[in-house]
Amino acid sequence: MKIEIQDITKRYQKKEVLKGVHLSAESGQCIGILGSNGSGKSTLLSILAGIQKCDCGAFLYDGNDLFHYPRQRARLVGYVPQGTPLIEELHALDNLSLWYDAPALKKELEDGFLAMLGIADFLKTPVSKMSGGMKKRLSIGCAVAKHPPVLLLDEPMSALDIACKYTILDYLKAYKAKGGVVLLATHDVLEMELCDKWYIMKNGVLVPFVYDGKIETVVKNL
Amino acid sequence: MKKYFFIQLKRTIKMFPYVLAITLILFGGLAVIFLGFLQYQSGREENTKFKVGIVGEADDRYMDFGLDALKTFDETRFSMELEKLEEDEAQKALKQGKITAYLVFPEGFSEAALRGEVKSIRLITGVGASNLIMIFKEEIARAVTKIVSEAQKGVYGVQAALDSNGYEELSNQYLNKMNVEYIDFVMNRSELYEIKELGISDGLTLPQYLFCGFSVFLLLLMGLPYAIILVRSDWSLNRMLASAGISAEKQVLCEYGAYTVVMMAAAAGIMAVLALTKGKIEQLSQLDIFGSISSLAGHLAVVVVLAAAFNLMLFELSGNIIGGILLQFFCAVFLCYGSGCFYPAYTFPEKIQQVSGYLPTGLARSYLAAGIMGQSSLPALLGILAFTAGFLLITAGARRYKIKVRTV
Repeated sequence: MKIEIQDITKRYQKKEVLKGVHLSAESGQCIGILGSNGSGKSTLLSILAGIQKCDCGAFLYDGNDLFHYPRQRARLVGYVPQGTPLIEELHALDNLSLWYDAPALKKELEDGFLAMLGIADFLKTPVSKMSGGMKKRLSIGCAVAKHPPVLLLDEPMSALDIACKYTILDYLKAYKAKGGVVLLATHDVLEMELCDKWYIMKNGVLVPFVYDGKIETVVKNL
Repeated sequence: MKKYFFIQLKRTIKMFPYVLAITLILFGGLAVIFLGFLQYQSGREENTKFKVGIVGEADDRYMDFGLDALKTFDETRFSMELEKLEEDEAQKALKQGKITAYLVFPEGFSEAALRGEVKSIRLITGVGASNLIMIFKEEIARAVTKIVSEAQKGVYGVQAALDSNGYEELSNQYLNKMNVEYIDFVMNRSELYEIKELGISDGLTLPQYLFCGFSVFLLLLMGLPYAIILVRSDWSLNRMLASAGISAEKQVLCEYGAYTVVMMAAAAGIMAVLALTKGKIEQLSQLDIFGSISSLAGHLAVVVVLAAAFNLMLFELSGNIIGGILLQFFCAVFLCYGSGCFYPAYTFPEKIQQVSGYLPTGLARSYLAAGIMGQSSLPALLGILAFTAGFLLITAGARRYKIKVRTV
């Protein structure tokens, strides 16, 4: 499986926020997209998730442009936006039942990705009483309900404690190991270590970057 | 989409106890205002100088003389002001609240009266003019009694004069006939007038009219507690749903469906409270809505459909919970006031009256009125459905915009 992003351009009125973005990834790879706030990372992920339309460009999945097949895109691409994409008044189980069928949910909670994310421990907890880490794990759990081969994550580990970060990291490693492609918009060092390729988004232009494990190099290039 | 609807339903049902509590508090408050208003109206009426239009027989010299005498010497001048009008003018003035009622004197009334024949006068009132009707009835009875007793005095005077001048036979022959005619006149005095209430709007009584207006207001405010769950600042769930193929339009439809179901249940709760208390509160019997309860319930359901769409739209446009509650409250007050829900619209200038009928609340009020009258009112129904669709389109548009633009 291979995904290719070709020449994606997006304009807000006169301002060009994405200028001919290119990247590609293969099965089992994680791509890290770095960049300062407002550089266009979230806009790129929104476009790939089908929330916004780009002015031009293509999103190829094994050669098929998913921009032309929204149903296929919805099935193949999982998306976890920033914020808390959960219903605060309801339990974790209610939130999961929005995305999963009952038998699939039971199976996932027993020995699937949901078990790996440790969601079974707080199934009956209302979202409003959950910690940030629990919410993020539940959000990812909801996004992968249809086992999408491509996962878009917009700063998934921001403001989480270290234990929770490692739970999510372990999960993402397992996801990659099963052949999934992860596209991460990130600022987090731990997340960067998970990635196989890195790009920096600067003024709407995506440029390849080699992460040498030193945060100073990242800061210098932002 | 089905799952999202059921999740939304579960979410809104969780809030239902709060909604019901708020609804009953609002209902109680509005009921107190409603009853107080009726009391105030009847009290005001007692201290009011009624303006009454006179229609028909306008050029008759007896009528002129009679009216001048009433305006100048009679004690009714303290409670009534009389004005000659054409019938269409009088109808318009009555609708605009410029007069309280008008009297229609039939053609040939004065001549018939001179011959001792009965021709009914029609008293046309709006509503809430019960004191005027009482004054009118008393005045007629007083006039008839006066005419008869004075006439009787005359008759007996003539009898005495005839007897003393040796015309006893003549006196016996005609006086009996005259007495029979007078008795006949007195017995038929109730036929002298006919009272017709035109009604405030669509033939409703004042309590019914206010019931419709206050119901619309209550339905608009009933959803206030839902601001807690429907006003949001984090749009990430909506973005995630949109990415999974549940578009902004589908999201809005599901939320609207769930919200409407709960609003219907709350409205049914109010109807149940009304039905339970109807025998216990005297003023409720004046409402006279329980005869057409099934028709009214159907119309109420349609108004709930409108109110739910309106609430959802305002919540969607609000930036925060407090703003949402305030926006909801002020829009409800403004629209209800503008469409005459708190007070008959005919008291407003004509241009406002024309507009008020086309406001969503004006349509809702007149549709409820049709429900009470057991009528269908297709134009109001179509108007309500058009507004509902419009509100939902605006909501979906706002949702689409927020999903696209807001990063969180």
